[in-house]
Amino acid sequence: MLVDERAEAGGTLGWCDVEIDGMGGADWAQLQLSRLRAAGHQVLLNSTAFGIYDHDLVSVWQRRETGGDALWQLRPGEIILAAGAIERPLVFADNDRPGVMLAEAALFYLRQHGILVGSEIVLATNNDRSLLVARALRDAGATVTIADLRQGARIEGVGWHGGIEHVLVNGRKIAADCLLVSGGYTPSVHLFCQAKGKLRLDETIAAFVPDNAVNRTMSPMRIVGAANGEMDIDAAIASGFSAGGGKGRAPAVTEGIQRYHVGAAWPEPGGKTRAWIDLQNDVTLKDVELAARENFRSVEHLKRYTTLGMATDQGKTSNMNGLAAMAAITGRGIAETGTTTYRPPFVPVPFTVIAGRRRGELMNPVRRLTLENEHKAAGAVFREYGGWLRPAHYGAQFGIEDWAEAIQAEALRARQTVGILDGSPLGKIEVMGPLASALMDFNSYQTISTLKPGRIRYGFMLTEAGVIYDDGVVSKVSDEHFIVSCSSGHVQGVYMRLEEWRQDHFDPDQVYIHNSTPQWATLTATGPASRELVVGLGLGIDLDDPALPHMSFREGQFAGAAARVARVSFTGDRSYEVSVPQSMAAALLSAMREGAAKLGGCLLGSEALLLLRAEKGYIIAGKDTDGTTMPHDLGITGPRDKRQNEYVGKRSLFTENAMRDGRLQAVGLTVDAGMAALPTGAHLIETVSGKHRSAGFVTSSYWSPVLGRPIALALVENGLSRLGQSVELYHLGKSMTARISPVCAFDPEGKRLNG
Amino acid sequence: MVDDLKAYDAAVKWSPLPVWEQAVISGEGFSVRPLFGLHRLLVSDKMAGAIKLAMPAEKPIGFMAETRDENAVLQIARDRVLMVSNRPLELSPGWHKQGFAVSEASDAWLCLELTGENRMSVLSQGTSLDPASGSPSAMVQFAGVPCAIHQARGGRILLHVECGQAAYLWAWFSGCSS
Repeated sequence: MLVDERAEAGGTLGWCDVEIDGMGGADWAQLQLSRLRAAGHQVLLNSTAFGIYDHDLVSVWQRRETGGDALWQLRPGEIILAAGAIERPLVFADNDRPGVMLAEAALFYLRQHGILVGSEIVLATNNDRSLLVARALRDAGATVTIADLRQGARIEGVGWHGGIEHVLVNGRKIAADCLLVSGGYTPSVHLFCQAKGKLRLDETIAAFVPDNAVNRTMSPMRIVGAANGEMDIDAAIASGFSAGGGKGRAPAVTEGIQRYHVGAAWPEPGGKTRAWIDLQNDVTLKDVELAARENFRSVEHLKRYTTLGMATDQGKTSNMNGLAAMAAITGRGIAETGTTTYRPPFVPVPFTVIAGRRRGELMNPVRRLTLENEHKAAGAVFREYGGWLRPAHYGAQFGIEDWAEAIQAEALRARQTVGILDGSPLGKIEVMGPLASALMDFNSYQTISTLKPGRIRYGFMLTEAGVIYDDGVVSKVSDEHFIVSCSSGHVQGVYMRLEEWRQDHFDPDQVYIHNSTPQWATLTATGPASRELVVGLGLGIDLDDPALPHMSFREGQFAGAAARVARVSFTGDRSYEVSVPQSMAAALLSAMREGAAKLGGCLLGSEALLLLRAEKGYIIAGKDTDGTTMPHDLGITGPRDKRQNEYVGKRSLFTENAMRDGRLQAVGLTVDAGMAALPTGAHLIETVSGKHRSAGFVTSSYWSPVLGRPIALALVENGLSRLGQSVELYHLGKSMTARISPVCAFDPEGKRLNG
Repeated sequence: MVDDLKAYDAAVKWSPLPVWEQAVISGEGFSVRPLFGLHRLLVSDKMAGAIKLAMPAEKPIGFMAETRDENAVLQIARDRVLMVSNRPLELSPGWHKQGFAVSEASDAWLCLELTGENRMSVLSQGTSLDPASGSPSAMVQFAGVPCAIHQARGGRILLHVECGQAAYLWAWFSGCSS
């Protein structure tokens, strides 16, 4: 496969006056393409090999006129790199003026576009290749004055007034309307270096070239032509022919050979005026000097301190000049100073190319419930919750279309009899092994190891900063087996945290973490009639309260398959979470719906569940907590005050910030009769010295059908010590008042858990 | 906010969940169908004792390794395998004193079988890994989601995807060209 970034292959053959085997260079290149195609080889034009990745994976961006661009991912057996070289500018005062151009660019404009860039041209150069340019421009009718830096010419500035008027060379003004510059050519070694190739400085051409003596790549890569420092066209053609396994006589360059003969012309520090090195990011020679004074002397520090080489060209025209300047400033050689790390992509690549077909529903997919089709058949309206597509409500079961009315109806019915919720996304992360207890205690605010088998405990997982990352329940199967039931949206995060501490803080052979969430479908029955419903499932479990008290679980069977029943509640009512293998989910749902129908129950969507838990003041981490909330901000202080052993986040709970006055604390908000529900996000306002400031905000707000009034949760400064206080809130131009109240608005004694 | 949500059903954004028992994709030179009836266990075990007990004829394999049939012990982490069998596996869930942990996983994954003369072309659209070189791990990112992939004799590529992400992968395969 031949990959060429331009529409016509052959690189500089397209604009340099070269003859090969008696043909013009461009024609000769076209002939080679025809031969390749005729032999069945693939030719990708307008395609850029922008990166070489692990195990020599080559990525190519193919630009196409129709059908959209393509991303090719190649695993070649061999790579021949003929990436050429890029001309670099000279660094002098006023070198950023419009009208100052690279010399070969002028030849490109002339040959490819028929444009003569100036009529009175000064060409400042340090190499003989520029003579090709001068000849072509003169033949086109321009006057060209050559300032050869190898002969002592010094460009000292540019006279400019709406355009170049003169160039100052060795103190002499030379009238000009264009200044072409050539500081030599930098071999394009990017792909070679991405493949871990090493470079060496070739002083004879003032450039870094592949050090083929120590080259180490995973697969044979050969570099030819200017990319390998072979700057003369005949040498480039010959080495390409050889690398390609050419037999017989190599193509002969019969005209247009112009020897390179470069003399180094690096920036000279210490000047008084501004001379630009990186024309994209406006980095000057003085910036490099400043970096050195500030001790950012390595090229990697130079890059980040000045942003030299960090623009879209990634230093293609500036890196060599920049590191040469740093070498001169610090008294080191260029080789010793070295280059920065070469990283893909070689050119900016549109995200659409990399994304390919991963757009629309393929871009950021949600997880889907096993019972999705059953929910749809039951009239569910869906939303996305924590990366899952879940039923928001089932208004159709009541003949209700209105979103808000449907949620109210479901919540009320669940409080009156029983509601069935598909809780399958809830995490079921197993922690197993002799160190399971220790790992659980270390990762939990609450002590978990003291649980008895068959019992469940609610707790928090903290970050190392002491902030609540997630809340959930942990079931203890045995001293060596726990099941962490975390929030649906945090399953991956909790799993990764447990795994991280398993590997970093414990003997990983003594404790293992399994994410078993996908194995189990979990259907929850909640409400006063929930026990009756679950009894009807025939699970083979004694469901009497003494045998299965709140916060306990038992193993049973449903239709011959394993089933686990846990008495936990996210609604404050008596509730049972029944977990079965996914393949039994449909049968379980059918059985529960049949039972619920006899009891006047209903299906419960996520929106109604959010309302029910808010009535009880049960928080949702990330909604009713923010990035600062610690357990004591929710009034839960026991473990902080009593636990002796270490756990993640412990020390952060005792910092000055953790203990300070004015922390946001979780409270409820109550409004006067007849008022509407508070807007979620409304801020509590305090007036200090005539200025308003926020003292908290509403995190959850609903109309409670069972209470017949609005309820709200909020984070309020010192909220826990301000119960009963009246506060002012502000939202979108409107003011309102409320009273700070306990978080639990419904059944504060908790009688309905066993009711 | 409530008014904005009245008529919004997010399900419209996503292709319908396939009825897996009837689902099949027939593309140009390739086809995809789910396989049922497989038993799976997720096993963490540094010393491979569990494999000797449950699937003694098998050794852990990685990406695109070939097996006789669907039975395979798929290496999915340094100390973790997914055992797949068309017969029940005789290891109970939980911690075993021999030093390994077992979790039931038969329903956690869906196996998709990719066949046809263009199956490798389709596979290459989902991963840049070289099928010929393989990888020590069978668990790879395929079309953006983790999949445990191996092949069975007779030109069958078997992909095990977490059941919650199976619908996405099905939609992805549906848009594949050969």
